[in-house]
Amino acid sequence: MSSNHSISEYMPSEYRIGEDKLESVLGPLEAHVMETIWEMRKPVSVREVYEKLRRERKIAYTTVMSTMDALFKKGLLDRRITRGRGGLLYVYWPRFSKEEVERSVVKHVIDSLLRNFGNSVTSYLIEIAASDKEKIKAFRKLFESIEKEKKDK
Amino acid sequence: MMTWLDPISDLTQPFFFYSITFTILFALLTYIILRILGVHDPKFKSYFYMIPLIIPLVIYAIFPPFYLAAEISFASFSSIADMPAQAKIGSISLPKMHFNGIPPFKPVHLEVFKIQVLSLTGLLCFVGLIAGTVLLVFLYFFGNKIVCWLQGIVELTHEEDPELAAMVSRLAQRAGISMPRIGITEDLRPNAFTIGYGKNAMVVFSLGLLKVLENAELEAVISHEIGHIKNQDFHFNALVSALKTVSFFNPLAYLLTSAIKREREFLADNTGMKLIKKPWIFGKALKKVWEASNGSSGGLLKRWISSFFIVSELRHQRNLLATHPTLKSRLSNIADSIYHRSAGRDETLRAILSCAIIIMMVINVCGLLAWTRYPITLTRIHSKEISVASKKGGYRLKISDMPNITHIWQFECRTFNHEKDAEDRGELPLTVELGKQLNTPPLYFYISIASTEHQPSLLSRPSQVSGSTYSWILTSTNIVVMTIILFLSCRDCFRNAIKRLVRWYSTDQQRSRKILS
Repeated sequence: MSSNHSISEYMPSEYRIGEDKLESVLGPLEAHVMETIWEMRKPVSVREVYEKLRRERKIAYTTVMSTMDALFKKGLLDRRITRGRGGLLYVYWPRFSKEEVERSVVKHVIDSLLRNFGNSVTSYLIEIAASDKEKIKAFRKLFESIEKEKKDK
Repeated sequence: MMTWLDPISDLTQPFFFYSITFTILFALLTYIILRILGVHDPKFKSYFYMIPLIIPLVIYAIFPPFYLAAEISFASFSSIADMPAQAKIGSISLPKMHFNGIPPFKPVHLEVFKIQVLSLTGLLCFVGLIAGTVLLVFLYFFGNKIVCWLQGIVELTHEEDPELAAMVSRLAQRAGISMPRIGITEDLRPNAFTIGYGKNAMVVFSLGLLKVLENAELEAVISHEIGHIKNQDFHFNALVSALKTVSFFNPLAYLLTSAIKREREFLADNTGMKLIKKPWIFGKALKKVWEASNGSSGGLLKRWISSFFIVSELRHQRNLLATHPTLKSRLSNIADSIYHRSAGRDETLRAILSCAIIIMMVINVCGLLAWTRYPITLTRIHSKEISVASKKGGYRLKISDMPNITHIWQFECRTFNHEKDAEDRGELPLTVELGKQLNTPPLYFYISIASTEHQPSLLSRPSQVSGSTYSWILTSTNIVVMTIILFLSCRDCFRNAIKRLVRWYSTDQQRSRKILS
């Protein structure tokens, strides 16, 4: 049914610096739909998403349908045919949690930055660390927790 | 007051008996007429099949399903003024009666009054009537909402799918109706149907249909659905469903309903095909839909409920009660402007026929039972069986009436006394009561037709209607059924025999000619 079964994590195809939050990797509508599906916490049909979105904005059913189809193709949603209202229909559910998606975006973006501009990234990180005490604290905390995890294992 | 008769006399109540019998008779008559006259116009046929469904309503108007019991007053020794104002339906004369230790009365003349009581079958009819009315109201007021919810229908605005909207509006214009709304269901299997009526009519497509069909095929499907709207099939569907519900206890009603709906499908096909230039494409689309759909969608209950609201479903159901003709018959209908008798319709008719025969047999058996159980013989009130109870209001004798099919007063008398005080019962000397006629409390008797093991001796009072009506109906229906069975089973035999005869004759002639030459 799906060609994306092998994917274990989300792989953003692009990253737009100017956009807010998830919209940096997804289209604005895609991001909205994803947020809605995460909120609903159960496998949903297009109609259910449409009916929820319709309360918030003016939207066409077909738009929601094509958006969810695109999200499925991007590997963010998984779907399966079930017996539902009206007959056999697709239900979709998120393949990853919101945190997982965010983490994989960060991972892939930083990986890509390191790969392409490794030296600049390191020097920038040092720059941040020097300029902002709070960030130093945050980094330190992070490292400490990582080390703890290692010890525990 | 409720009086319950035993099941057999319940079944032979006139409203129940006549409604079922006449429904069957008219179904058979319709069938014969259509076959003999060779009526193939689906519109005519659908109207024809409605007739047997309307029959029960007519019967209920003549014999209200409430009427069961009659009330008898002792006209001879009670003033009729005491009786409540009720319709007098007859009178009965009893011979000399002996009460316990009381000197015999003169022959008594009794007045029979109608009282309205429900019987079991009356209850069935009544429930059917109410359910039918409720369904009709429901269909018109909430039908659309319910089916939208059940089927998960989303309405499409015209901007959402301009191509589809343009196609629908073009065809609607061509058919001369206002543009219907467009809806979709998320069903992945191809299907289309119509809901609602007038300006609220909605043509619903499944996502599967939009995916599978090409534009020309889609146009054909739309034209079929528009055909439904143009033919006012919502009203038709609602009416037929309500009528089916009215006689829900009659299996024939279900068969007739599905036959009607099939004819409406053919009609919609015909109407729709006039709207498009290449009607055969509809056949292609239909075939595609058929091949892609397997099984029914949703639970049985959901489908059943939906079936009341949905006017036409493109998809087929595989059972006897299918409301849609088989693909084969539809394709041949599309292919020919002259309609062929097709396998699907033949099956329905055969089913109707066999169902009719079965019901006929059941009624025959019931009638026979009723007859043997309540022979047209003598009616007598056994003096020992009568006991007296007193109550205010005048002298009364209550009697449960046999349905006017047999219409004989046969009864066994038992004590009828709702008084808590047992002392009242039977201890009141009748003479005393009779003596103070004007001021006395009334006499109550209960006369039921239930036969008990110790049958009371019966004294004759054959009524005017007697068993003749009943026997007439039984005989005539039996003759009709037998004729039809004979006709149907022998038709092919006869035809073959004639063919063989003709062939034999012609070959014989040829042979003789050869010999001569």
